[in-house]
Amino acid sequence: MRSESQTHPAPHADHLSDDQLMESYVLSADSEHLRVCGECRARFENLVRLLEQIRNEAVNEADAVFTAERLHEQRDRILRRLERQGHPAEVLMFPDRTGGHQTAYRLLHPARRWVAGAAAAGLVAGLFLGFAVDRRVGSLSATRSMKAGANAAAWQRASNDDASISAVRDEQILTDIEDVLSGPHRLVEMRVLDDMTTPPELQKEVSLVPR
Amino acid sequence: MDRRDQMTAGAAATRPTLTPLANEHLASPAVVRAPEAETALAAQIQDLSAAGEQDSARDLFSQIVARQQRRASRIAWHYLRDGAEADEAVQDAFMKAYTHIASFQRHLSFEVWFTRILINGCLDRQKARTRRSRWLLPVNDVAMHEQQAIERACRRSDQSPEDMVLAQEWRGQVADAVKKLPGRQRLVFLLCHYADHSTRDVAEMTGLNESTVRVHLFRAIRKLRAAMEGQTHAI
Repeated sequence: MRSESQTHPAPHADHLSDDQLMESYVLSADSEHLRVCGECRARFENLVRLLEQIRNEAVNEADAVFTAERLHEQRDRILRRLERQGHPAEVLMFPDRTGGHQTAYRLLHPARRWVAGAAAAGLVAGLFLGFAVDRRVGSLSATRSMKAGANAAAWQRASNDDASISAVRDEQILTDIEDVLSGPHRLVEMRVLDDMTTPPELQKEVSLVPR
Repeated sequence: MDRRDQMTAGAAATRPTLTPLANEHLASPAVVRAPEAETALAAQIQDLSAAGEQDSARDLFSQIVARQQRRASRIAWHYLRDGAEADEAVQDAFMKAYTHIASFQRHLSFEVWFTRILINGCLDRQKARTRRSRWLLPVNDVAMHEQQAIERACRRSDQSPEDMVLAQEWRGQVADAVKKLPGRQRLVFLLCHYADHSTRDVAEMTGLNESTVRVHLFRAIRKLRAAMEGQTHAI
């Protein structure tokens, strides 16, 4: 505490600091200085007065909220709770037209309990089997999917080969056509070709081979 | 019984004899009080409960309630600042004290034991309120109603309107200053200054060292004084 007293230095070197005054208040210490120094005594009285005012205000506030009537009600409630404490809580049945007692009895009957137990066991067994079958089917389908993947790759390779062969064939046909066009026997062969590929009404206009 | 309640079983609550200052007006926060009648009553209630005479035990306990409830309500109000919650906290504390009266140790002060139960209850409620405030909006109707009741009760007939406003401001500043105190300082100040407990009693109630309680009280007073410096009181 002493180190913090530097924040409030004494007004005069011979007088008590504010912190020393508060220490005297907190510790209820009998200070010789307060007996003899009127100035410090006045400051101390101011401090006490301030704290008393704070206290009085606080007490008034609380008493305004907790009036005599409210305290009386509070006491009554406490005593009622104390009286009820010794007795076990009463459970009220929920009103039910169909008869809640019979429903409860039906559910708790030994034979019904066996049925319910068997149904629960069946459900558990079904779930277990379901999981087991699902795992097996899963592994089979995984194998199948692996095989299918391999086939697809082979098919892909084969289709790629076919495409390349057909491209070569087309190229060959076009080369042959060019050869024929540029060759010495072009008129005879090309006329046949021209007749086959050109509609009759356009033969005169688009024919490659003069007629 | 709550663990914190059991911790009240400590050293005997002997109140320190204070050296009075020269002037009697220089009152100290540690007030020497008469031996507690409540402690004797609590001992009788223990005997009656052990003998199975619950009705008589309840009758005696109602005397303790009547003696302690105002003080308890003040403490709970200043701690919680909510009339309904403070009311419930006080009720619960009395119920707990009666339920666990068998564990009360006769050489201790009943008031200290009971106040500790009350403070623990208030702390629990404050924590719950903090949690609740994260999700729910506060209800201001009740607080406003209580504030109006406070203003009505503190109003004096000879006060001018200006004085009333000043007094209201002053009360607000005090409440804010006390509210801004750190938790332990506020608790110690509240118990020492509002509830008139000695620092030794407060040490037993809070489980703190007595010198620590004094340090907290000193710091609380210093902060309050700094906050209220220059404020004129219009009452």
